[in-house]
Amino acid sequence: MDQTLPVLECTELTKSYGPTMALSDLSLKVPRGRVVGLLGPNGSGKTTLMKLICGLLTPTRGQIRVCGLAPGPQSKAIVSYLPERTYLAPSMKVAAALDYFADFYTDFDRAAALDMLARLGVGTTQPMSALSKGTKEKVQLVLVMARRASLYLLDEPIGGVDPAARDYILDTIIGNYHRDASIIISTHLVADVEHILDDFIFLRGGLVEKCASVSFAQEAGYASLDDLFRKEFRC
Amino acid sequence: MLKKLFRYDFKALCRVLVPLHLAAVGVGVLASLAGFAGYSLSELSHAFGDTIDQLVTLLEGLAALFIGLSMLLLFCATVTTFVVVIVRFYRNLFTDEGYLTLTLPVTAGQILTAKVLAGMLWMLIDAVVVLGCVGAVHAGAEGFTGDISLASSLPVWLLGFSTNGIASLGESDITMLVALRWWAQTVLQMLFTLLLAYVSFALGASLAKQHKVAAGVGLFIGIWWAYGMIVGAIDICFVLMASYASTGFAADTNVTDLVMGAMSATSVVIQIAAVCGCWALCTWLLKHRVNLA
Repeated sequence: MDQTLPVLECTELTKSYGPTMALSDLSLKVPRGRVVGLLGPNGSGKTTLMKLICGLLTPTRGQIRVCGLAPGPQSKAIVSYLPERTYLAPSMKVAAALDYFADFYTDFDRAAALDMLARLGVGTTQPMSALSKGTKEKVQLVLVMARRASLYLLDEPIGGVDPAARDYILDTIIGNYHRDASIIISTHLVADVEHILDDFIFLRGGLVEKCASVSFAQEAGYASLDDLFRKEFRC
Repeated sequence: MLKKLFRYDFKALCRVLVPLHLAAVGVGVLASLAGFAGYSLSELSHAFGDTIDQLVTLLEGLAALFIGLSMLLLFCATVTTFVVVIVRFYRNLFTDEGYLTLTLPVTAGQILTAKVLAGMLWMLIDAVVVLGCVGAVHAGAEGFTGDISLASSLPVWLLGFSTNGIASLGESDITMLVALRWWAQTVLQMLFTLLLAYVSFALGASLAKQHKVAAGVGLFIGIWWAYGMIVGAIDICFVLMASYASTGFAADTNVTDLVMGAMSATSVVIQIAAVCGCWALCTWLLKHRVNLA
């Protein structure tokens, strides 16, 4: 794989659902080793962009390249995606979920996953239905972060959990990714993730409104990225 | 990857369908025993005379009722198998589980192939188990009349499962070729039914904004009906041609046989084309039209 290629490159990417435009002529590049915040209000196109990158949706127009690859089986093998939803079947045991990931993803590190689960205090014999909502989300995060992927797509990873769990999740994210990979985190809890971000992308109505380094906020005279976000997206 | 996908799909189906089919076998065995017991009871009646006649009649009635119910339960097992296979397909691809399945490093074609193979294998297992049970129950029920002839009933039941097979039950000599034809047509019919259901539910999920399952069921019934009408119309044309051949100027039984053979071949060709069409459409839908909530 060519290491000089950006991890993600979107060119004039457009996605529409009938007459509704979810993303419009979006172009961006994410180089290696960056933690990028995909920020914007509800309905700004964050989840649509993530679904397009991981091949769950087909673009209406434009193109996506992940390490130079168009979305497909090869790109899916190097993208680790954490959706907002709980996708593991309720009857599936944690150990079975580990087996599943190990079977399908060659970059899955079972030892790392077991270590993270042990720190979380989750037994591998428990079925998903026996876990609380927060723990299910953590198990999914463990599975996703235990992969040695080139691009991690995390859709609202701290959306539905308490502040203490948010710290665990953010620590897990930062502690487990390799510096030659990149992470895109979609959220509107900007204050919580701000300290782990290198760059941010503001999305509004399917358009990239701003794409810069996190230091831009302070350089522009704002107290923080959260402050900039609140002023930019004030209703 | 296809092997792994198939393994997971088959295992997931086994969790529900193995207990179901063990229960079906249990019902079949019990119903068969009930049939033989009913036969033995009538012998008892002959031995003891009128003193226990009423009791024997009651027990025979209960045995007959149990046999009837068991046939119904076996039919339900077949329907349940089909429903379980479709539920697995829908849940695994069009609900939240789809986020996992559809982001695996595999093609849409591999996902569909694995689901078709797992579904087909279970439908075939179901056919063998249920028809075996029906054969056993049938043999048991024949015990009532004292005419136990497994050789004449069971193989015909097993072989005559397909539509054409049932129509040909009157054939005096069932050759190996005829038996193979029946089973080949049965497998093709199963494949078509399964793929039609898959494509209906995939269409329902991609076209409907709400009530996607209901849309899938509606599409399945609608497409099935439309397909039946088209094939039926073509068959009628062939029957009219055969009728003309047998009564027209050139009345010739060879020509009639030829027309009926052409009708059968056309049905098979149409069904193969329908299977290919369903396969291509389903793959395309999985690749381009899935939009998970």
